[in-house]
Amino acid sequence: MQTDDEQSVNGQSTNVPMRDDQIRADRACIGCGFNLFGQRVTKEPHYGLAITRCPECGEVAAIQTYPTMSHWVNRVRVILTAVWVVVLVGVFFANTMAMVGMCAGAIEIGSDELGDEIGIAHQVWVDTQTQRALDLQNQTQNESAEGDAVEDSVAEDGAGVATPDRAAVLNDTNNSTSVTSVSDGITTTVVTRADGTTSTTINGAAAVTYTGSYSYTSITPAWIENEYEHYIESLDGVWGHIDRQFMILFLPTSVIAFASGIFWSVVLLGARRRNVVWIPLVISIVVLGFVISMNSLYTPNQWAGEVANTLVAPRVAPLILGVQLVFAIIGIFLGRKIARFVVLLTLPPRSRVSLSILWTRDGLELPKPVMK
Amino acid sequence: MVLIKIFTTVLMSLIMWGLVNLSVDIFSTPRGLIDLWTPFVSTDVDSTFQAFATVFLSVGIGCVTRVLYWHHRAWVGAVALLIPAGFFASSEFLTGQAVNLLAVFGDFQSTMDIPSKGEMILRGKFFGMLSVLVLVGMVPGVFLGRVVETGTARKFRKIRKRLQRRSANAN
Repeated sequence: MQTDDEQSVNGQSTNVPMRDDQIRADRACIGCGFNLFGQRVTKEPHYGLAITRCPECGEVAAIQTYPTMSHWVNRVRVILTAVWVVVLVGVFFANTMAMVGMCAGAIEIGSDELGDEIGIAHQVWVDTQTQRALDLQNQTQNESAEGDAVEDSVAEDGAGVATPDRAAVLNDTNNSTSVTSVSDGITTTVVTRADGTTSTTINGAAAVTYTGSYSYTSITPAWIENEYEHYIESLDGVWGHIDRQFMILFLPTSVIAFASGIFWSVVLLGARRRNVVWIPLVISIVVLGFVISMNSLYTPNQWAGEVANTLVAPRVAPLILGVQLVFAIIGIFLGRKIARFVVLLTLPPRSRVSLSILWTRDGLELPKPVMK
Repeated sequence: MVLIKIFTTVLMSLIMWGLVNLSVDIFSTPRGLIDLWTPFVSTDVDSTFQAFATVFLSVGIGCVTRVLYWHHRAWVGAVALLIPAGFFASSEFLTGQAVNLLAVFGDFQSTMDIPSKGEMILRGKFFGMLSVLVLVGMVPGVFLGRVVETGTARKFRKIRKRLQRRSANAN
C-alpha cells in the first residue's frame, strides 16, 4: 500500500520505505518549520539516499546531513571573490596601460622627423622676426639721425614705445641693447649683449634657439597662433611626414593583444565570446581618448616634438589600436581552444577533470583518455 | 600544474636556445666549419667545460621532458619542447624578416640587424645535433619516469590502505 510519504510517478511508487524508519527526534522542516518527529523515512530511488517529506509543505528533508560550516568559509569565499574581481580590474588596467605605452611609443617614433621639421620651421620664423626687429632698429636709428620726428617713440632716457613698423631701443646698464618691435601684432624683443649674442622674446615668451635637437625646441605661443595653420597647409598632408618606423610596434602590439585576448577569453568563461570582444573594444576607446587628450595642443611652451605628436597621434593611434583590436579578437576566439590544447598537453587525464569547464562551457565533452 | 609545466617547458626551450648559441661559439671554426672534437680535448678549461655542459644539459633537458610529458607518448614531449625551442632559436631571424615585411608595406628602411643565412644554417645544424641529444636524453627519462611513477603509486597505495583502515573502523 502506498503511503503519503511516497511519491508516485506514472502510478508507480518511487520512494521505497525503509525498515525501522521513523524520525525519533525533534527536527524542523527546512521549508515551513513543521516538526518532522514521527515522520516516515524513505529511500529515494535515484541515489538511494534516506529522506523524509514534510506532511505540511511537501519539502524533502535529507536525513544524512553534515555539520554546518563555519561562517568563516563564507567570509573567505567572499574575500577570495573580491580579490579575484580586483585582480581582473588590475589586469584590465595593466592591459590598458600597455596599450597606452604602445600608442605613445608609436606616436613618438612617428613624430620624430615631423618634430624636427616643426622645430626648424619655428627657428626660421624666430630668425625672421629677430632680423625684422633689428632692421627696424636700424631704420629707426637712421631716421633719428636724419632729424625726423621720432622723439615721440624714443624717449630721452633711451627707452621708447614701439609702434607698428617702428622699433623702440633701450640701452640698459649692462652694456646690452634691447630692441622691441611690433609687426603684424607680434611684439619681438631682441636683446643684444656686449659679447654680440642675442636672445629673442616674442609676445613675452622666450624663443629658445637651437639646443641640440630641433624636436626639443620650445615653440612660442605666437608661432602656434600665427603660423601653425599655414605650416600645416604647407605640409601638403601630414601622413607623408610621419616616420613609418612606428609600424615596427605592430609586432609587440599584436603579441600582447593576442595574449590578452586569450586571457580574457579563458577568464570570462561566464560570458559568450562575442561579448568578451567588448573588453578590447573598451580598452581601445579608453586608450584612444587618453592618447589624444595626452597629445593636445595649446599648452604653453610645448616642444616641437610635442606639437608634432598632436598631429601624429590622431593618425597613428587608431592604426595601433586597430591592430590591437584585430589580434585581441583573434585571441578571444582561439583562446579557449588554445587553453584546451594546453590542458590536454600538460595534464594527465585524471587531473583534467578539474578544468573540464573549459569543455563543458562550450557544450563539448571532456576527451576520453587514449591508452598508450 | 599547467602553469608549472608550461613555464618549465619554456625555460628548457630558452636553455636550448642558449645552448645553440653557445654551440655556435665553441664548436664552429672561424671559417664556419664544425669541429666537434677539439673543444672536448682542449687545454682551455672554459671550452672543455662548456662542451661537456652542452652535452649534459641537452641530455638532461630530454630526461626532464620525458618525465614532464609522461602521460603522453615520447614524441609528443619532444615536439612540445622542440617547437618553442626552434621558435626561440630563430626568433632573431623571424623578427628581422617580419620587420622587413613591415618595411615593405610601410615604405621605410629597416635598421634591424638580421643574422645572415649562413649563420642561421649553422645554428640549424647545431639545433639538429642538440635535438638528437635531447631525444637520447629521453631514454634515461623513461627510467626516471618509472621511478616517479612507482613512488607515486606507493604513495597512493599507502593512502588507499589508510582509507580502507578508517572505513573498516567506521563500520
